[in-house]
Amino acid sequence: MMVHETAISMRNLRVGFSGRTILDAVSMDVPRNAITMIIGPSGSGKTTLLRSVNRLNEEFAGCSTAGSVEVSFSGTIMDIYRDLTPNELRRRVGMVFQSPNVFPFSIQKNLLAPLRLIHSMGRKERHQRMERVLREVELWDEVCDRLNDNAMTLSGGQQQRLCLARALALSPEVLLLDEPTASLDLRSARKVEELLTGLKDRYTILAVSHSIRQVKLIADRVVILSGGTIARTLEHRDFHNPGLLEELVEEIF
Amino acid sequence: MAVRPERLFSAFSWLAAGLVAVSVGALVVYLIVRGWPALSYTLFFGDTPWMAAVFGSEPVFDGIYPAMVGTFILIVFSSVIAIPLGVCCGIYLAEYAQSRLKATFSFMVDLLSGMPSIVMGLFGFALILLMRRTLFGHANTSLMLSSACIALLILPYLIRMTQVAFESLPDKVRLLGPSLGYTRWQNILHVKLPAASTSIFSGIILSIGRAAEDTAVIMLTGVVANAGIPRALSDKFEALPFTIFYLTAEHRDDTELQTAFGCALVLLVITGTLFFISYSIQKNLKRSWRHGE
Repeated sequence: MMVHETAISMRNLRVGFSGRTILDAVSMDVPRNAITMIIGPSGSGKTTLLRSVNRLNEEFAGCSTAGSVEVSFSGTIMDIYRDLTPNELRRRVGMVFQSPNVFPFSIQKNLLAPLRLIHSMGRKERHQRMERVLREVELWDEVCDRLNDNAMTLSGGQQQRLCLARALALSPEVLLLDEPTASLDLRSARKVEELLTGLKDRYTILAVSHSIRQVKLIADRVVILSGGTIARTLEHRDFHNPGLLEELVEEIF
Repeated sequence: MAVRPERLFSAFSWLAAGLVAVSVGALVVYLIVRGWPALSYTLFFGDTPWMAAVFGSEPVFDGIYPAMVGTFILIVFSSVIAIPLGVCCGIYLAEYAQSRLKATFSFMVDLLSGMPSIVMGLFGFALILLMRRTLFGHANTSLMLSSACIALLILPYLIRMTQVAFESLPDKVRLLGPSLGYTRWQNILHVKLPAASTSIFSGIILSIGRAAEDTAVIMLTGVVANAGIPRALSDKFEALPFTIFYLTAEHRDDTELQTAFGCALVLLVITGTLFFISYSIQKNLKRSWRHGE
């Protein structure tokens, strides 16, 4: 049996907005190079939990965070609320949103602009990186002859893969995915799921999901969230127990 | 029966939109019908050869060319002052100001936008009086003072449009830059400003229209009937709205009134041209944002 070391460790995490508690005493570990999925009913704090790993909650007024979130970057464990600024952290933790969130610019500018602004890369290096990540998300063959077209002209599935490529281009160690297939058709969703399975060898993936099918298919660990607290954590081996996940979901939702 | 209010509302909406279209159409047609016959070489340059007028070697006495130049400089100069100030102030209010300071600034912007233009003119006039009595004995009303006061007049439109454009960006756009590790400044410049540009340019176009038409401010701050083409910002100047005002107020026959309509038509063309220029700048900016690297 494969044992993963811990990449993200949350202890007693509490997040609130303007005095209203959203996450309460959340403690969990996210294994390195594996897919951890968070599921739970609407309003259970899934997205807030995800955003606490790249401190994106702080972009909203009245946010208060207590407790600790430690992330292991290249073997060095850092308390992300103490040892790093939000920008330093977000450059190491990539994020893909629920609905495709491309810049309304050309396909290539979506990838090249962040590389220029964040990594100050030269032109040649940026173009090489762009091609590499577009191949990584299997989009290169579909867009290589239309890189100057507006990214909004791509299909929803292609846009979401472009967003994934944009996150990967910045060389993160952790990937946060907020229901990345929620707005996609089944075929596009499958494509993204296949990609994620391939990517977990190189990245630690923490994702929010809405689909039991998806969770059973690709998750190595599942965290079930309810009312801002962790109701249960399951490992992939638990999925062999027929109906367990469905029963738990039925009970909690 | 439930359909009735919906139908009534829909009919009223159609009527309202139709009324606006008809009013604007009627206004423009009336202006063209009354103003077109007045358009002639003499209206623009009087008896002066146009080359001599354009290069300023001979003064123009009976033409509106100096007023056209005055209006053009007034709009451009006041825009140069107000646009950067207004956009930056709007960004400050939307992005940086803390709640109490934001409320104070917002109140001041509202106060400024509610201020009648004649008060703004009076403020400019009083400022010159103060300067003359204190440090600058030779200070006088001028094109520069008018431009500054007009800039103050259009500032609130620019501030509010920019602030609202930034604040109404959806979370999806707002969070994109930070999620990639952009600094606040990078996010403003490379994500939010392009996303908000359409609304900001609407504010700019509104301001240009306001700067072009205002008469009350310039009457107290530097416009005169026969100043000729301004050679410096410290000169007095002529402007089309003022020319229209005095021609209409003092007309003795229909020909003079028709000249005023001719001026109004020219003013409309000047503002239309400036709208078109700012629209082209917006389109080019959008193109450069969309493409490139």
